[in-house]
Amino acid sequence: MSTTFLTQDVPVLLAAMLASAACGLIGCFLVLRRMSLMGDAISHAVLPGIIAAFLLTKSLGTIPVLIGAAFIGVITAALSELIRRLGRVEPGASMGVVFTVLFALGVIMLARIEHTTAQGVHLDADCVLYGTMENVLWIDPPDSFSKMTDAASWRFFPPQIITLLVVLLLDLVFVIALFKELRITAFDPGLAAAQGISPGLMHYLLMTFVAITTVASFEAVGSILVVAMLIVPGVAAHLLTDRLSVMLWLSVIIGVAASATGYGAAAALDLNAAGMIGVMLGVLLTIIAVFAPRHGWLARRSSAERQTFGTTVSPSFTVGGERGE
Amino acid sequence: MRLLLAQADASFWAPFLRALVFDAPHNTQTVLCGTMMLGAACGVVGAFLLLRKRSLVADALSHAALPGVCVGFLIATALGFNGRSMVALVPGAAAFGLLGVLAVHLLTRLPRVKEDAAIGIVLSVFFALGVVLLGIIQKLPVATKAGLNHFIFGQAATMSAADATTIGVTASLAIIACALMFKELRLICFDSRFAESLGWSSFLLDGVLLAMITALTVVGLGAVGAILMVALLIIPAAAARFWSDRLTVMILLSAVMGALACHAGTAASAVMGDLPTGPAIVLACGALFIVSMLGAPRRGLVAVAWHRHRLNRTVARQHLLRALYEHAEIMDDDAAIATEVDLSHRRTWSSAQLRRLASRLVRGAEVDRVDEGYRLNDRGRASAARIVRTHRLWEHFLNTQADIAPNHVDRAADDIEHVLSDELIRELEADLRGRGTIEEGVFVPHSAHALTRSPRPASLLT
Repeated sequence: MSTTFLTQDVPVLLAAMLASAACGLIGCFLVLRRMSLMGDAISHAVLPGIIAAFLLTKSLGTIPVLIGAAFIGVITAALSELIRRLGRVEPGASMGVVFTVLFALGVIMLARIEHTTAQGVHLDADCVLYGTMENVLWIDPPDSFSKMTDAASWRFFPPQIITLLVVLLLDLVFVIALFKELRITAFDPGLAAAQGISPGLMHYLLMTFVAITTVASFEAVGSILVVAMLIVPGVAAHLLTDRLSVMLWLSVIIGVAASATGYGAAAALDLNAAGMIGVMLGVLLTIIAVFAPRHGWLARRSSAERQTFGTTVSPSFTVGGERGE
Repeated sequence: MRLLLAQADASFWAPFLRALVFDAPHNTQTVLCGTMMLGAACGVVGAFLLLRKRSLVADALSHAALPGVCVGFLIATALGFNGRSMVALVPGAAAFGLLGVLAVHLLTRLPRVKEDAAIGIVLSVFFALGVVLLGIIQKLPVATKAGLNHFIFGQAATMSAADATTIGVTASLAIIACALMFKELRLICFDSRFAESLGWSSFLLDGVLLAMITALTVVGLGAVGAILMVALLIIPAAAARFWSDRLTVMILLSAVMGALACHAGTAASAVMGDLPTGPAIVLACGALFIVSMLGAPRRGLVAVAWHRHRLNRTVARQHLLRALYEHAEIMDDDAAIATEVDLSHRRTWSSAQLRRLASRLVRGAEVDRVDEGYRLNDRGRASAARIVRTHRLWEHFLNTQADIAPNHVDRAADDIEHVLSDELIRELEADLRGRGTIEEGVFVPHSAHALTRSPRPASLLT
């Protein structure tokens, strides 16, 4: 076992995989609700929330930062909704107004912090954008398997990974406990309301979890790549299946696979790991978009050809016999 | 203490004001001109983008330009040129910007991939590619690589006169192009089908619009940064939309607001050293948006709330007058006194509400308060007659022409009778007379349904 393997490779890989699993899980619901860009908006808008939490507590403690992020996530969603409904502004534009202004506020607050605090806080604009994957280090890991059980060697286990683990568990509990409600509100908000499930409540709950997940993943992969992790696996999984439960599993698997291969490629070629994971997600999506069994480009092209030449008629066209006469 | 405040004020406001009136160091003036031109052009193009409901395409585009900047830099460096020059960066960014837009278009043609997801995918994956390329560039042994990451947050303070000229020329070209194609762009914004029937390809015109946005994004990247570029394209247009329903007015306002926001943001950041320009401009845009959303004359929230309040008051007044009139009709006595109980049975008024409404009418000298209730006076009866007449004409109309059963028309009539115009009422009356539904020579026609003293079922009465 080489020394960098446990200090560097394992923690970073673990962080990336946990982040992509958590994002993939929550991201499916954003994709299904056609709110993918809410992920983008929230991942930008949480910046002032994190800084406010930092200013209030004077530290980057996990709990205050997560609370600040959840708060600002709900604010972003609520403000966008408010502007859309009261101002009758088109939804994309109302979101754009909210998140750019909040992000700008965050960048200005950051600049002021850098200006005023002499002791270097590891919070700057670059680390928010690109993430600081290389900071996920396990200093002084156990150097043999026999020491794995020794509590002392776990003392410096990277806290980011623990945070991600906790957030992933929270997400899992959220999705499993409210699976029925999430499914109904995603596919048919009207039916959900008729059954006494408040679509509004589910909306804001989901936004809270998106914000928490985003912030936890932030540190590892940066704000823009969180967007890739939120949206791409969900879209890819949706091209492969019609069942929500299967889609959730596939989304997690695709995210984790992209993290592993992306990190591997980055390590082999000495490239930015977070960036490579994002690129890998894009590559996986392209492959799935072309080769997916029913909704892929190839499958659709061949079925279109069959229909054109009339050799086979897909069952949906013969039911009821309205067509072809 | 007061002196200190005054000093602090002077140290901020004097240079700020000087920057606002262009009486500032030469460098600040350059930056001011550059960003203002950019803001105005973004306002114009953004207005079309907003009306095409494609605001967030700008988001995808500005992120997609990042790998383009890197590729341009890498190619120019490999060929032995200065990689930082606009000549190298602009074509690269433009190519990748258009590639990003094309990718959004292709992705949305897949089943199940909606436009929002496609935009999110393109912006994040392209940006990831940009981050990877930036990482490669950072490891290169060339001196010119410094400052490439300013394309993300922007660094307006370092804008050179040449940069400002590039921005100015691009912005002017975009504005001129919009002016020349105003008619066509307006068509695809409001009725793309009609535009196509006239032979204008909406794909082509969208392409022109996107090309202009790409050009502006690319030259603006260095000033306000990729992330905040999108704000300049969206916010001034969305703010201007509150002020006018006319496209020309909206576009002009949007341009002015874009320029104003850039002006104020740049001036503020020139004065406060640690205030980055891009975010300052975005905050200025946000302030303009809030002012517009609240204070715009017709669509602003304050105006809308005031209008709604006025309408509610008018409707409540008309209801009470009609209730009093119909009570007199039922009692067959113009001087009949309606008690609070009589009136509250006609509508779902609480007694406090009823008292408030009635006292307003008493103050307006339309209703007299008699010890145990209320009574219409002559003036009140005249206005009540007009109101009842409108209500009944509309009821009859719904009854005869819209196939609504007589016992349902009362509520249905309620929704719309308060906003009928005089002309429409005259037309209604002539029509109903012609059909013999209402009698000749009567100002207030009979009711379409039976009037009773307590319209609610007896079981609900205590």
